Parts: sequence; C-alpha cells; structure tokens
Amino acid sequence: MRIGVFICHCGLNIARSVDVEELTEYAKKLDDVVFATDMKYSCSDSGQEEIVQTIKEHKLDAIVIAACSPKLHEITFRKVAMRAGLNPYMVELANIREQCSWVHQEKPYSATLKAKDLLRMAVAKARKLEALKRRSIEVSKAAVVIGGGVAGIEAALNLADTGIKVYLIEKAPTIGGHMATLNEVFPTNDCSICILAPKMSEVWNHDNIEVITNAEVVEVSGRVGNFRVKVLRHPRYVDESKCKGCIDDCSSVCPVEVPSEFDYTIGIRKAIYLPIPQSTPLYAAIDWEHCIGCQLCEKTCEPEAISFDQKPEEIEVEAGAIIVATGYKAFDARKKEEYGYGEYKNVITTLELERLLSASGPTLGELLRPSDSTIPKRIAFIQCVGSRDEKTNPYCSRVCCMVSLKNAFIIRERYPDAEVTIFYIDIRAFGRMYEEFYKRVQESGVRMIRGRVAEIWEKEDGDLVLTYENTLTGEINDEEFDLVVLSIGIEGTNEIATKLGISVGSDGFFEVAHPKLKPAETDVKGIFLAGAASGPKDIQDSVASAGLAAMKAAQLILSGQTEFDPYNAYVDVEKCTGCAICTKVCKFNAAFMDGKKAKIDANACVMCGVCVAACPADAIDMGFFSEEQIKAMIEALAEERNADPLILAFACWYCSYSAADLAGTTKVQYSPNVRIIRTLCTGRVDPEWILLALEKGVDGVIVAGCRLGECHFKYGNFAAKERIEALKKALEEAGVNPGRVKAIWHSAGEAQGIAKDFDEFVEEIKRLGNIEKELIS
Amino acid sequence: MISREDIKALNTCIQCGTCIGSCYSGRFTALNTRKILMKFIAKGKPIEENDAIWFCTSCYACTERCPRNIPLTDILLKARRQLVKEKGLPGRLDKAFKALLKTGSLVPAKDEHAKLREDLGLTLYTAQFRDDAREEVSKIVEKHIGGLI
Repeated sequence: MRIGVFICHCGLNIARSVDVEELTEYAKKLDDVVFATDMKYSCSDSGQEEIVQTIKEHKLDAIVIAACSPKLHEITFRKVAMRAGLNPYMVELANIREQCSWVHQEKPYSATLKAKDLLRMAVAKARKLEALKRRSIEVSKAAVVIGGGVAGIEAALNLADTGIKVYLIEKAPTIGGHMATLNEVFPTNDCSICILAPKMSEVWNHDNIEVITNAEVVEVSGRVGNFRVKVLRHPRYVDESKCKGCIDDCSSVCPVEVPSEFDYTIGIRKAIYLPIPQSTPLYAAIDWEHCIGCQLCEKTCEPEAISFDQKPEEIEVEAGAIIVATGYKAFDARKKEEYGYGEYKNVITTLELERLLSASGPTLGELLRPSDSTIPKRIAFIQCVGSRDEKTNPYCSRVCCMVSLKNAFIIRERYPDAEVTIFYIDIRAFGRMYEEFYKRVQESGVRMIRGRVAEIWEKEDGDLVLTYENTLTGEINDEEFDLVVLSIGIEGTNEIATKLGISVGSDGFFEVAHPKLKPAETDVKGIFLAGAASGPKDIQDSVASAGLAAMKAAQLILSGQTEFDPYNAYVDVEKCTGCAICTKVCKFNAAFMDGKKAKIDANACVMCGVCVAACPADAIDMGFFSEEQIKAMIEALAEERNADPLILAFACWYCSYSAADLAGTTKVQYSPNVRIIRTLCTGRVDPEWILLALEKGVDGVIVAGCRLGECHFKYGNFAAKERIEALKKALEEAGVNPGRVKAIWHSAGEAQGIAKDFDEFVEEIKRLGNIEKELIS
Repeated sequence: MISREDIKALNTCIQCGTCIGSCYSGRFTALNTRKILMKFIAKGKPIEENDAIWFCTSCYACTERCPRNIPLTDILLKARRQLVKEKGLPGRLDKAFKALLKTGSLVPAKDEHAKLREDLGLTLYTAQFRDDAREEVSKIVEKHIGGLI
C-alpha cells in the first residue's frame, strides 16, 4: 500500500499550535507512507491540484489529509481522489483542527503530540481502506399518498403533474379532510371549501391519480423504491357507476339518524349520506355501523345504485415512495373537566363552531347555541385548551390563536351586537399577514382578556359562568356568557406508525429526519411526511410541507434509481451461525433470515452498525467503519504513549462528534489527553474495542453519543448504553476499575458540555492512575 | 426548604392566572398566587417574603390545574415552614398553638360539656377531656414546634 499524507496549515489555524513541519517529518517515518508534505491550504484550488498531481506522480493507493473536520471537506477530498483516478473511499481525514489545534491553543507541545497520534491512527486506517462502490437500486414509478386532506391533495397533485402515478388513500368516503369542513380560513377569510373543492375535483379527475376512498392501509412491506402497500377498501354499498349523487331520495327515506362526524357531532346525518355537499367522489355511502338494513333507500333509488352485495376489497399497490399525510385529530375537550365540555350544552369546540358558521352546516350558517337554538349575545373563546398544558399536551398547537381571532371577527361581522371575548395566555400570530389580522380583530371590538379561564359553571338557563383572573388588572371575576368556544388543540394521528416503521415523537406526531434541514423526510428511506402529520400546521404550512414532501418523493422516483454511501452492513455467510440476533436488534427491518443465514437488505440498512456490534460470530461488518479499520486505529493509538493519562473517545457522527467539532469552532478548550475515533453511531461501538484499548494501555475510554431519546438511529445509543453497563460489570469482575469506561450523551450543540465531560473524565482517570497495574493484577 | 427543583418549576410560570382563578381563598383574601409568582420571576422576591401565603388553605386546586405542573401548594407550604423557622409563627397561629400546647385542644372543653357527654352516654376520649391524651398532644406540639411558640 502506497500512502500519501498531506498536512494542512489552514493558514495559521492549525500551524499556530501544531508544529506542522515536525508533524510532516513524523509522517514520513510511518510505515507505508511513501510521500508526505505540508500545505498552506489543502482545500484551495491549487492545494487540490497539488494533491491530484501527487497521487498520479507517486502512484498513491490511499491518501490521508490531516486538516479540518471531515464534516467540512471529506466530500471535497473524495472528489479530489476521483479526479486523480483513485476510489473516493480511499481517503481518510485526521481532524487536527477542530479536535486538536483549536481546542488546545495554549498547549502547543501537547497539541503536536496529539496531532501525531491522530495522524498515526488515520494512516493505520488508510492501510485497511478498501475501494467501495456507491450502490443504487431501481425505483418504481408510482407513489402512495396516505390521507386525502389538503396536504395529501397537494402532494398528490404535485406528483401526478410530473407524470408519476399516485394512489391517494383516504379513510373517509370523501377526500378533503378537516379543511373541507371549515367555514372561512385566515388571514384572508376566504371560504374554505371554495378554494379546496376545485383541488378535490382536480385530484379526482387527474389521469395519474387513483383515489381510493373508504379505505385503510393494512400492511406495508418492501423497501424504498419498491414498497408494497396493502389497502382494505370498505364497501360503500352504493354502485359508483350508477349513483348520481342526488342523495335526497335515498337519505330522506332513511329512518336512521346519527350525529354526523363531518359536523363534529353538532349536526345529524342519515345512515345513507353524503359527508359534505361537495363530497369527492360525489357518491352516497352507507354507514355499515349504523344501517339497520331496512332497504328503504334501495326502493327509492331510481338508478338502482344501492348494492348491499358489496364486499370489503383488498387492493395491493406498488410504489417507489410513500407520503404520509394523515393530518391531525382534534383534542378531546372532555379531558379538561373544569370546562364541562360534553356536559354543558353551550360549551362547544372550535370545529363545532366552524360547522355552525358554515353555510353548509347543520344551521345553514346561523350561529345558534345548542341548548335552545337562540342567537347568543355574549360569546367567550378560551384559548390553549389541550395545548401549552402539561396535563394534556405541552406543545403549542400553533393554529388556535388565529382560528379564534378569525371566528371572533366573523361573528362580530355577522352579528354586530354580539359581545365577543377571547381569553388568552399569549396570542401567537406568527405568519405573514397574521399580526396585521390580529390588529383588525382588535379594531373590530373583540375584547381580549389576558388570563386562562379557571373553571366554568352552568346555570339553569344554560348560561355559563366563567371564573378567571384578568392577569393584567389582577382582578378575579365571575362573568356570564351565552356560548363558550373551547379553542382546542391538535394532536397527532400516529396509528399507522408501526405499519410504516416510522417513529413517533413524544408529542404524538411523526418524527422527521432532522428538525430543521430534513422536515419532510423520516428515518425510513422513501417515506415522507406532509402536513400536520409531522406537527401542528395551518393550511399554508401544510401546503408548503406537502410540496416539499412531493418534491422529495419525485426526486427519488424520477431519478429512476437511488444512491447510497456504501457504509451499509453486510453478512459474511461463512461466519454466520444463524442465531438471528441481528434481526432482533435491527429496528429498521433491514436484517432478516434467508433460510438459516442472516441477510441484510443494503437498501433498507440505515448504517447504524448496531447489528455489527451485536453479532456474536463477528459475521457482520460495514463499509468504511469496518472492524479491522477501527481496531487498527486503536492499536495505532497505543503504539506510542503521547499523553498521560491516555484517553480514547468513540464519538457518534451525528451528535457528539459534532459537539466536539463545535467545541473547536467556538474555541472551548479541554484536556489534550483525549483522542477521538468517529463511528456513525455509538450502537456500532463493540465492547471488544474498549477491551482492546484498555489491554493495549489506554487508561480510559469514553463512548459519546446523542442524548438518550435523540439518537439519529433512534435506538442506537440505548443499545450502546446497555452494552457499556454490561461491560462495566464484567470489568469489575476482572479487577479493572469500571470507572475507566464512561458513556456520555450530548447533542450536536453541546460544545461546553462535552468539553466539561472530557475534562472531568481525565481528572477521574488521573485519580485512578495508569491502567498498567490493574492489568497485571 | 424550597429546592432547586422547585425554583426551576417556579421559573416556568407563564402567568396565565389559572392558579388564582381556581383559588377558593384568593377570592376573599389578599392571596394572589400568580402575583407572588410574578414577583418571584420578575424581581427575584422570595416566596417566603409574601405574608399572604398564610391565606392558602392547601386545597391544591391551583396545583391540580396549573398548565405548567408547578407544585404551587407544596411550595407555599415549604415557604411557610421557612417563614416560621425564621420569624416564628404569625400572631393568631402563635395563640392557637399556645392553646394547643397548654390545653391539648384549640377549643378547651368546660366541665359542663364533660357532664353533658356523660349524661348522653358518650365516652370522653379526646384531649379535651382526658389528661393522658392532653399530655400526648402537648408533647407532640412541643416536639415539633416547641421552640417556636
């Protein structure tokens, strides 16, 4: 193996505290290094060109760049390698800036020693590097969109317009979701159904979209590129080819009346019904739970569309990507007993009010209070019911402030005599034109009282007494109202999570791959989130997020194939004993049994490495972070003793490694005794490595992962935690102080925290002394 | 003592007023729990320095309803304990405990009451009537707050 080493000054960023010349001379003496040089700026055009020429001239097989963090320029140098005709994975970086020169600015001697260690470790890994191929698979040219609300509709249309076949699956008999039932929508107060209905119709009539209503997803199998989605379509007992959508004939004779879920139970419907006048598709449906089978509808339906013979139907579709647009469910206000919802007739929710104000609602748009159908004069809105409340949902539901402002405004517009009060904690009018709208509402004479209502009592006549403190005046009042609207929060609908294998956050909404930079992606490749499925959103944000989800899905589908960094785990069939432990530890359904041997679906593998560390037969390995490479690094570290005590840290790429990098960027100083090896996840850390390090004379080992519960791979750090706890017990029994191994958990932003942990650990190990004496005993 | 955890919880108050809106005492007394918290958050004024905390009846309605899960009642009770340690019992309570120490009850029984009970065939078992029970109550009072009265 012919290795070339390039040591970067990074101007003075590295050269100020690390003796670059000495490091270069040191590099030249390392085995297999046939060329070493220092450079002012290795990432500059001229620097890159110099590396390309050197690779060619010296016929290098692998290169080591000692420079900044791989987070910054790993890709740059891989491209450099490719330009020189070298495989891009024959490049290893030694991070001597973020994790050396910047964090040991006042200790140039120690920094140089540490740089030597880091370089020697990188060279050791370079010796074991293998050429890897970026892999790709074919992607099926169809998408499944689950949920036919505004987000699902938007995503489906975007995809279908690019020529992708879309299956839109909706559990209700109509698409449209919550938005189809709303009255007018902020901040422009346009009629909700008027802007949605054209889109609903476009979806229904689109050549590339197949709308499957009255249906639910029962099973999802396959992987990115080739998902297979099994859908159960419930019968509507109406022949779609015959029904004209006239509804009056059949439903007028139906003797069954049930509270309509599309009116949020404030209105009624028949057992044969259209959910809303603009239902899409415009076919009647029979609600099989309530129909008594009298068949009166069958007799009156002139086109003879009623068909009681229909059976549930199972459909299977194949798709390259899935968009989850399952939206939200409304908070159940009965949980706030002090407000009496469900008991007091005139306490209603936001959604019920939407139906009361809607021209197609049960009162045809007239605001009548439920107890006596009179027009209420004194109306109160209570904000944050089921939001910002540790007893129900701790998060802000984002939409309720604007919804109440909008409804208060509409009531004042339609009923100028009405006295409308909004009880709020804070008004959150965060969107464009929202604050301006808030001001208009104030101008319209809506009374804003800052205070959260403590409780409600119902009087005999149905009026309601609210007890509250006006927190701005400090007065505690009992005040009477005719109608109270609870501004209910929104909650996640995550029932489908286990079928899809995607994770749910502690708030009940689906988890995104990255809260800022990957808001449409999930941890499962090929499954994307649109709308309120990934957190409370108003219509604007839902549509925007649906557009992004569609774009991400289209990107995957239209490219025809999808590429991966080849870090995925793979099984050595010769070594595999068929114990199936890997299939149990893999939470991403990537490991499975193929007969008596384990197999890992490279396309489903998320590259956490948990299975690699778990395999008792060492039959699983992974690309670029292989067992051999990491062990070589550990052994290389122990070859020289350049720090006392000598500490090794395994840091996960997504959080702790980044935290250590951030310590560098922000110049947080810590003890120069610590050397870091990166892994993709702490779940990859094999206890054997820790033992190897200790055996070879490393005095202490840190395993640094993401904060528990925030692992990029969800469960990787929990696996690491368990293993380390077990290892500590084993060490104790073997006479080694278990305090020599420590697990720490940091988010990528915790530079101070990780530096403090490093320092404390070094002090602890100093107290324990060198490991040698423990090894002898 | 009000703990570090308590302080952390107090700092999360969003001044919504649910506590005082739910407070059965605050409607009739000078107690305003939200304002006590406001002074704590805004001015760092210790909870213990608000005399109105003696009006809390420890019904826990505020704690039940607080959207930030602040254990307000418990904190007020801790603050009272601290207050008593530093300044002694406030006037009326001091009197009440003195009576308890001396007579074993807040409302001492008269001879006629004892006679009435005997006539009705009721036993005399409380510290109002029996010396051993009275001494027991006095001991308890002495043990816990003896030095403060």
